[in-house]
Order: sequence, then structure tokens, then C-alpha cells
Amino acid sequence: MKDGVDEVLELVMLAGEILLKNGAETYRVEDTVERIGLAAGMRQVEAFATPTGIVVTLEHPLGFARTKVRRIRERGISLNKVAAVNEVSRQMVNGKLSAAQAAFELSKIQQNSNAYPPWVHLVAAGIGSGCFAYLFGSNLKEFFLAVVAGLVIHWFRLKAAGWGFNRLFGSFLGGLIAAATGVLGQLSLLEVTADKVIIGAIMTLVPGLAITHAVRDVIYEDLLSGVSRGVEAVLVSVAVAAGVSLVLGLWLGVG
Amino acid sequence: MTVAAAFLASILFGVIFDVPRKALAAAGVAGTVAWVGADVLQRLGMNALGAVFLATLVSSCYGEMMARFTRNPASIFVVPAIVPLVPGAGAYFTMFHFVKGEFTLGLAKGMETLFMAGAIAAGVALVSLIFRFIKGRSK
Repeated sequence: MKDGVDEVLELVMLAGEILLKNGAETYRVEDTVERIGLAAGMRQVEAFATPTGIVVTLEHPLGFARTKVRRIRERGISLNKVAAVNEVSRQMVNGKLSAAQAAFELSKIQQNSNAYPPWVHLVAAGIGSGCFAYLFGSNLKEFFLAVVAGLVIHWFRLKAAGWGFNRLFGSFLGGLIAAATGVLGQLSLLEVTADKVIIGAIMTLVPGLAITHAVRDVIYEDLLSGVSRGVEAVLVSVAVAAGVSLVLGLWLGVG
Repeated sequence: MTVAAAFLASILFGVIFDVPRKALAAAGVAGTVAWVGADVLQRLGMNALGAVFLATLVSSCYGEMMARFTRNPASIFVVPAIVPLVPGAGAYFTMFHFVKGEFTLGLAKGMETLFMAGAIAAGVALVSLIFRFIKGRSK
């Protein structure tokens, strides 16, 4: 019991923050915080996490307690970071890492632990869109058009996040670009149909993580998180749909 | 060729979600099982809802098992597994019909899409429920 309560609190908060920012389920966040806190010698650890913030109270063996709140404002998805924090927490519980070592590992994870550089994400989104277009029965031209749409969409989303735009707006833009690419393709002399291009491109905008975690949160009775993630999934879908519908409306209205 | 495309698409989706490199192949398999499974079941004459539900069950079961096996969080495998099943085409045609003013067609397509999403959610829920129960027992 060499570690002071403030250091431990900082450590568990860092773990919780990384997990929440990169798309971990709520129970995993709370569970990890509690495990790390107990492993660092606290008598009791109480954590309450939602997708947008976390509260932790640590009770020191000498009787006093400390509480901290951390608001989570930016959220992205990096399952690699979630897995890495999970690994640190397990090693600490097994006594293979001290609190200080764990803090060092966590700060390393926070800084640079995406499994792939941004351009790989971009290329993956492009070719992924193409593959889905193909799975829905596209020809080669539509495949390539979907690749282009996927690339542009994710480049914009990357940029929009940097410019500080609302993430829902990013989804709306994504839908807009997907539909615009498809429609322009059909209007041009490329002889493609818009459907498959658009479907392939919007598959990359689907809120898969929000859907999965909404369900899992509810199963773990983290009702607040579950409901808010469910609403998030609906809102993202509506934003994409709004973007697509706007372009389709213009197209069908004019044409 | 379809299987290859489904596998490639699932792997690429894994990359988008930043799945750890070591787990990428397994995540790709999960997505492929889901997509090909749903496809085959529908060709065998099962309705789309049932096929998607079963495919979700099987692929997320596989995902949860891989998670236990490799000591990783389950979402690493389950999220890429369900993304290919999400009814993107249904959602698109719902919008298409509505924008064209074909409300009856749009509603029908919309309900179908919604039920598909519900089937996926129910599948994920059932599997995580079972695995949580097993985990609770083995402690």
C-alpha cells in the first residue's frame, strides 16, 4: 500500500476515460475501474459510467474517501485501445503490474494505440463500401464508384471531427455524399444504377457499435447507458437517412 | 467469390472499428459466417427475418467464444459480425419509396427493415444473456 489515493484515482480515471472514449460497454468501464482500484489497495471502489461521463469514488483503507467526475466529450471507436486497457487491467489484477507501471502503460495506450494508421482506415472504408456494393449485386463500375464514395465519406468524417463538427452532422454528410455519388454516377454516362453504390456506401455509416452496445448495456442492466446508446443508434440512422433522402428528393423531384 | 467478398468486407469493417491486428482474422470470420449464413438460409427458403436472427445467433456465439478463448472483450468480434447483417438495402429502399411518394411501399419496407434490426438486437441480446449467465456461474 504505497500508492496514495490521489494517484490511484488518477489511474482508474485514465483507464475509464480511455475505455469510454473508444467505445467500450458501460459494464466493462465500471468493472475495469473497480478491479484496478481494488488491485491498487483500495478498500472499496464505486464507479458509475455513462457514455458521456464517469464518476468514481475510492475508499482508502484508513477510512477517508475521494470522488472524481470526468466528463467525456469526444468519442471515437478504437476497439484496439479497449482491448489494450483490458489487458493492462488483467495484468494488474494478477499482480504482474504495479500501479505506477499500469499508469505508464495506460498513458502509452492513450497516446498511440490505434491498430492501423488513418490512411489504412480510409482505404478500408473505401474498399469495404465496394465489397458491400458487390455483395448487393453490383457490377465492376458500381464497385469502383462505391469505393470512391466510401473514401470521400470517411475523409470528410475524419476532417469534420477535426473541425469540431457534431458527429451526427458527419453522418448526415456521409449519407449526402453516398447518395450524391450514386445519383451523379447514374446521371453521367457511366451507365450505372445508383442503388447499389448508395447501399454499399451507407453500410460503412451504420451505427453497428451503438446497436450492439445498447443491447449489451441493457442486458447488464445499465439502463441509462443502454437507452442513450439506443437513441444514439436511431439518431445516427436518421441523420444518414436524411442525407440520402435529401439527394434522392432533389433527383426524383427534378428528374 | 461471394464468400471472399464477405470476408474482405468484414475484415475491412474490423479495420474501421480498429480491431486489434491479432483478432482481425477471427473478426472477419465472424462477419463472413453471419453474411453467408443469412444468405444460404434465405436461399433454402427461410424468411429473411428468421435467417438474420439465426445468423446473428451463430456469429455472435462464435464471437463470444473467441472472446473467452483469446481473453479479449467480446465486442471486438461481435461488432464486425453483425455489421454485414444490418439491413442497409432495406433502409435505402424505404427512403427511396417515401421520397417518391409511394407511402404504402415505403411503410412495408420500413417495417421489414425495423423488424430486421429488431431480430439482430434480439440475437445479440440472447447470446450475451446466455454468456453472462455462464460467466456468472463459473465465478
